[in-house]
Amino acid sequence: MAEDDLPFETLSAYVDGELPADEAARVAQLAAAEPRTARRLAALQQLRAGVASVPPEMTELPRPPAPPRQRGRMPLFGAAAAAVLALALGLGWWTMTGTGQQQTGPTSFAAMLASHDAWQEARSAAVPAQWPVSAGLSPARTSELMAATGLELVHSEIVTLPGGTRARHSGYLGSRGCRLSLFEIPRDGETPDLPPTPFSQSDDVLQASWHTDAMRYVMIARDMNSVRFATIADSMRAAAQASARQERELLASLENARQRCLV
Amino acid sequence: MFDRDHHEHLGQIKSRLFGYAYALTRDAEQAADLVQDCMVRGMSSRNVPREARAFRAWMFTILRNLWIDQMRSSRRERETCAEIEHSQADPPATPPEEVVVNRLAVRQAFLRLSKDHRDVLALVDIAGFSYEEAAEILQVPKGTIMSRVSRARSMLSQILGEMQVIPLSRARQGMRNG
Repeated sequence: MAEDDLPFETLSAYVDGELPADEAARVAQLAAAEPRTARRLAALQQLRAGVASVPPEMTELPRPPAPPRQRGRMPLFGAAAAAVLALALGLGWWTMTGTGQQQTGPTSFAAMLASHDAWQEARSAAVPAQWPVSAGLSPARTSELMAATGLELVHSEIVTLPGGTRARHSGYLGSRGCRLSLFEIPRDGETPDLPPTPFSQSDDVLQASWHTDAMRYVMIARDMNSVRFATIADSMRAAAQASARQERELLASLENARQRCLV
Repeated sequence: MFDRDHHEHLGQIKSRLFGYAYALTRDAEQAADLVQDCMVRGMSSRNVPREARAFRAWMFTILRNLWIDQMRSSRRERETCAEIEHSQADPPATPPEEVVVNRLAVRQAFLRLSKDHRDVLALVDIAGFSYEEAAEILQVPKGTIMSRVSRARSMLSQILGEMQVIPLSRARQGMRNG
């Protein structure tokens, strides 16, 4: 084989270890016999190593909270055990109570935006809010997901929306000052539902909303990259709705697991 | 849903995810944001691959899709007009073996590659995927990856040649003459 017979593509695949064994052996033999081929391969190896070193040191990313310890590969049992434990503690976070609907119209939204702005301007510190509502995403799960996207919970308060509805406002802060608010509003059946507005952008205000059977969620931010905001909102929506489905499945499995006592 | 195994898998690939994100965005802060968004998207998913290899490809695919979404949204396509467009027909002006390779020059040259070239080279050289795995992520045949990697390296050599990276001894001689 003459050196001119070796296409660049073949040499490139050779340095990646992607040639079939017989072809790789022929390239190796040629490289041993012809200095120019050896130089071409060496240059490609250098190029490859150079590209591998292109990224800078990884920026330190916020570490999501450690997942709960998993003793065995029986997640359903683990979830059931957690549910039973929660029941025993009186938390009952997995129960889907109420199928009513809740208004989050322009007035309510204005109130939430005002709450977001007040938090942003006040730069208020974390305030632990007692939230008696047990439905929806667990705070740990919400914090885990937000932490994964670099946002830390720094503010929590209960706000009263027009009509007297109470909502939990959680404020999340990013490492570069980005602020994002998440409002959780129980759907208690007092007011008619409105058509969902999954995502909207007006001036510098970004808003996303979604709901499960038990809870309505509204996310608000200003001056945030809209794609990033939508990505976070979509992820939170997926988690909330998945959580609701899993909870229903869990309840169904617990129902099915009922057995008569052996006496 | 993420469990302990997934967190362990994620810990093993996080720096390579960042490297891939950096290769795509060419900006460390944007890369960090992209990795974080990728993580939250993955962690909120219901169906997370259990096997490590599948999980790795799945996370890189998520990251790449998020980057494409961002590109479309912010219309950064215009900014990439300044990038050197690749052409299969154009041979490198300088033979690769004659290019003086140093890491800094490669870094600068790499960042001048087209996004498609950065994409495939980052998957293979930075993330360490095989051609078959890269083909799975980019949803193209394995042979296409082989061609693309080759063309990307050829273009990289060309850029390095155009950057006139010359040996130090020749540079000193030029200074004496000048």
